Amino acid sequence: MTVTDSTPPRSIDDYLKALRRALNGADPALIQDALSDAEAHLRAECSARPDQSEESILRTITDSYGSPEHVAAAYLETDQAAQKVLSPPRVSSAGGADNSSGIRGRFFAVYGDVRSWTSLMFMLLSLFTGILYFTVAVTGLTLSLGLMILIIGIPFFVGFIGLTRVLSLVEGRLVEAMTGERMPRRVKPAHTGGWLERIGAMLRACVPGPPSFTNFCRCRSASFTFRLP
Amino acid sequence: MSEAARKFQRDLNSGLVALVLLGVLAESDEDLYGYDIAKRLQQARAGEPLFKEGTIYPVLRSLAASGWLSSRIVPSYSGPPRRYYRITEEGRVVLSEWRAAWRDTREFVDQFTGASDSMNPTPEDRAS
Repeated sequence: MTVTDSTPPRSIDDYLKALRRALNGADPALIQDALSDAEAHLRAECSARPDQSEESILRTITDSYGSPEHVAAAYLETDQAAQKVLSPPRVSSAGGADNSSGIRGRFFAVYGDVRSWTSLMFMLLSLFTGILYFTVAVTGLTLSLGLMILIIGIPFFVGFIGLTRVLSLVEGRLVEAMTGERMPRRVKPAHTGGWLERIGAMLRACVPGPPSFTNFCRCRSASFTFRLP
Repeated sequence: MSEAARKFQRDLNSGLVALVLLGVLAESDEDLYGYDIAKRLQQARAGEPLFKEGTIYPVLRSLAASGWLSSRIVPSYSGPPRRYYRITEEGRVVLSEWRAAWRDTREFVDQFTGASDSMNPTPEDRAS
């Protein structure tokens, strides 16, 4: 056990960091799942008990939710169990080729697998999505560079970065739906901060706005929306 | 609770949490999200909880991956989006099998451990 066991996390962010440390080296998708589950639970706990401070709630959380190490162990155990169940290759019943029918059956089984055909469709589709992404990237970059001389270039660049995030999310979902390959989950930023903080987090730079101002333009939308006032 | 008792409880939980979760979702008319389920389980037991709330989430996900639960994500205004779960028809079939297995196991174990002997007759009583 590490030294971190003795110091219980004081805030939700602390807890998530400890959980991420405990899951270090695991599958990225698993880490994302664990973090988003924990964050959703802890935030729900905090909003269910509005009279208590985050710190006092977090003090009791290791008893109810479990310590980060305990929770991490639960995810790792369950994932191993799930992978054992899911690991045998799926052959659709429509294909009719089961493993027992020898080398020929196994060789042709791929034609009976629905995933083969959806993957093929995905590759054909990627011509069009690829053209779209390339056009957006080139247009966005050149326009934001060109407009940087005028002040419009900065909000345009921010909007462009937001658009690329939306497009990559769409692409990830598309890959998931058509090829069955699991993409890492993006943890939803549960920022109650204002748009300046959201942009700051998005650009991986700290752009903290004045508290009164950020409270004033608090975005209440929890779905992935990118808003400029 | 001693460390040995805790370890025994953990070993027991590895399969039972999944059974309890399927049971809760089968009983419920509406879709439930993780926090909701955790609180229902907490209310059902007065003493120290048998398992940490954090351990139900990976089990929910693996049940969903096996096709026994379906899930949908609903944006929430108070924080991150919530994942609502509902039991599938396949899940109900699995649940009825698991229930039977659990009933058999419990009866078998009770015979040897003399659990709740004031309520149930022991094998000797039953024989006489």
